[in-house]
Amino acid sequence: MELQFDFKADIEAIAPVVQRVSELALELGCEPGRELQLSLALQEALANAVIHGSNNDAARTVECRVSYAEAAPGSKPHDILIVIRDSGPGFDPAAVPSPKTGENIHADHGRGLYLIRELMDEVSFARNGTELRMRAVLSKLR
Amino acid sequence: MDISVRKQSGVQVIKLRGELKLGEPVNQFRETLEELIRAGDSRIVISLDELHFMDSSGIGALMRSFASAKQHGGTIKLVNPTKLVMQTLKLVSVLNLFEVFTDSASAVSSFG
Repeated sequence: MELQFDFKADIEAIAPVVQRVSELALELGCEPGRELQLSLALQEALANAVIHGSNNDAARTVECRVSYAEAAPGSKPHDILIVIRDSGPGFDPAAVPSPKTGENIHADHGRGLYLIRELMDEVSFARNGTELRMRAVLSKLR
Repeated sequence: MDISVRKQSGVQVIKLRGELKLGEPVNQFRETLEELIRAGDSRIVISLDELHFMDSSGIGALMRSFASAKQHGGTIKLVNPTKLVMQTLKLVSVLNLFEVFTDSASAVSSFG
């Protein structure tokens, strides 16, 4: 099954998407607290798509697809796969510096991608960095 | 996000409720801290027991305020972060830059 959220690249449009996905994770029977971790990763990913991928331009669209399967009663919840696309020029994820080295620890920015990688079970990029794919195992906390 | 500020024993005690995240909440937080520090109040306690979410923008604003408070001869101390906020601050290795207390009174007293 799939949920589809296409929205204007505006930071105010992020919260309802995060809220719905958090509710979905709970409906699917995630480990308590996993929905909060998922919310944070998604918040970071959508913020990146709006700010860096779309330059905060509300004339642009951010696409978000959430794929999931409902588990049989009594069995563990399945994973959630989230794919986010922006229409920007792309970037090299490997070139993003670690926020944990040297003076970066004290910086006022640069932690979003790191948090996504720590809070999700699989993260990959495609289309020159304009597509982010992330998978969350719902049955356990990171 | 709701921000309340009170002064106790010469220390500004700030309580955050809700979510410190990109947009208006971070802007509000930043403005509040800048105003306090500009007014000469750089000894600050931030109570986090009712803040259930802090994204990287929130962390950035916290770090910026921390640096500013230090530059003005003070510091920021934290009280009772919730589980996810604690995990988030730990993940990006900033938690151990702060003194963390379980209650505001102890945090205020620690300023001497």
